[in-house]
Amino acid sequence: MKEKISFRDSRLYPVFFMIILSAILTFILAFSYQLSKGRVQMYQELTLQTNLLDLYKGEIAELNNKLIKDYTPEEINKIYNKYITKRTLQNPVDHQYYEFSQNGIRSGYVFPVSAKGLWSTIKLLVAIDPDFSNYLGIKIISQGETPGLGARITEDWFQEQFTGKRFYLDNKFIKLQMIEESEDPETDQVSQITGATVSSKAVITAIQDELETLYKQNFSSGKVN
Amino acid sequence: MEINAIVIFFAAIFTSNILLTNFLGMCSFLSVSKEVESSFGLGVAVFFVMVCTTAINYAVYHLIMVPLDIVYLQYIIFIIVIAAFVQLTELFVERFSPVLYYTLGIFLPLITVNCAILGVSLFMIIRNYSFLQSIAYGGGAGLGWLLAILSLAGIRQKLKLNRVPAGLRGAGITLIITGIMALAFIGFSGIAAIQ
Amino acid sequence: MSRKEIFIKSAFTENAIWVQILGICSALAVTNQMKNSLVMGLGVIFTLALSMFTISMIRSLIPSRVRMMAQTFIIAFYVILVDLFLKAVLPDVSQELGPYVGLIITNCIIMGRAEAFAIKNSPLDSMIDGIGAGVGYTLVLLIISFIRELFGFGAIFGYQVLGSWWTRWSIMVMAPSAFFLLAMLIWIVEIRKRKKA
Repeated sequence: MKEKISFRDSRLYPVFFMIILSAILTFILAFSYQLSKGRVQMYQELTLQTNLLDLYKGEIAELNNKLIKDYTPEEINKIYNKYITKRTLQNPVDHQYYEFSQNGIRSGYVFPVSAKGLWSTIKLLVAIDPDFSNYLGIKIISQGETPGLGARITEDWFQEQFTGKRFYLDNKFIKLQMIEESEDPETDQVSQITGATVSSKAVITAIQDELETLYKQNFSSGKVN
Repeated sequence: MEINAIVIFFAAIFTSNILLTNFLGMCSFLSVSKEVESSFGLGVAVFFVMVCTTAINYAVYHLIMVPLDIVYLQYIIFIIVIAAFVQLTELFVERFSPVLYYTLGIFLPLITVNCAILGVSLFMIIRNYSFLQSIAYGGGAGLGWLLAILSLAGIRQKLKLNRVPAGLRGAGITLIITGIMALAFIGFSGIAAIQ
Repeated sequence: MSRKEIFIKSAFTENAIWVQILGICSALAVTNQMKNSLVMGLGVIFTLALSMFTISMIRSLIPSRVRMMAQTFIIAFYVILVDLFLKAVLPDVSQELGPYVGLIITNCIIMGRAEAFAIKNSPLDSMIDGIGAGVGYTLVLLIISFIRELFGFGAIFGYQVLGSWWTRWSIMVMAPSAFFLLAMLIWIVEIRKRKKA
């Protein structure tokens, strides 16, 4: 009579074990994932709202009491709803953008722009005044460039240098000239980042190109919507 | 303005070397770099596995994980892919080329836990690369790792004849050399305005 | 060995980084700021403690053929939990740590401790060993990041300590400094060891 091998020692057991183990672990993970999904989405929405408001913080009285990060999500949401409206363009279809209004008067637009950096797609928001004549500011939302080099596009001086630069004047689009980081930018000039020309160029070029395209396709024939 | 895959390839070797800039693949790097021959063997094996698993993981991510919304399981799935691939490669090499197996085969189990391999797949996803860019990145990262470990082995070979302070022998001096190499590689950041 | 002895051993006398030279990858990557080091360290402690506990609990059930795979699976499971937690509760830290959280799985420390300890010891002892190894690891990370952040940014945990008169040492912000600092640390530990001997 053949000796019976215990189930433990059989060839089938490791397979059986792994299947059970995987099933249990994956089930718990799927459950945890569903739980956390809601929070993650809420956070992303909050971050977007905060970034949009940050671009106009000089003009929003309610934001001058404390640092923007000290406001509760409810407060941010309230201020956001008061000043910012989300809209979609016709061309490209469903492309989102935002309008900033004060007391019913449109005071600016914000467009999401993507730039192909060296390592990553750089996502940023570009704020421009309602007649597109001057930039109001830019905000880098996400990037994965080299720390210490390309990642320096997130430095305040780089982003703030766009404020006030001209974009569209006398039916002409201004091409910003890119100069060295060590030089002081004059009218219609912006500084690149030393050693990070790909990242900074990508951002500067993408801002101008995308805005020009969006303007030509949506705003040039008079007011949109 | 799509970043050229070739630029990514060269940047992965020099300006953003997976080991000297991103610190990945250190464990086996420190222990195997004592000998030039084994370093070369391990480096080539790492390169091969990196390119292949990057390609496979790209496909698995975009064709399976995203449609099924199981992206959060990516760590487990990528590791399984890597382990399975290494296992298959080992079987394949053992069967078809005993010579190759003798020189390279012993490194393969070491590679499964090499954080650089998993790291490259993860970075590829985070940076949203296309298939071509992913391959370029995987290949460049592998070559960069090979370059780093080969250089280190060469230096350590020379060091055998020098007097290293007792406290630094082994890990200490290896880390310092690696640090100096990392510094030197930063000098590459001027290459054709790569970054 | 008492619980206390297990802890001291895995945290200090056989410290994963400066004695066993394991787990260096993430050790160097996240040390640019103390906050990142702390979070990474806590993640590793959590993963280590629970993985060790779980693996030890089912050690008699794990077939030896799939031992490594099963261990990796369990470790990956806890790492994903850490990752989900960070994404939901500390999203900006999650962004900063990026893929390095996932790389905890390949962190040789965890696999090493599992093979060396959890397979042979009781769950509670294994958990203590895991916590000890994690604490030792976190300690090294915090030491290195303290120096890097202080000299590279003039800050500690994000608080500006050195004013604008301080010229930042950019090397501290970049990769090479981590290598040098770790080498220094190992050197100091080695010298102390030899003095005692």
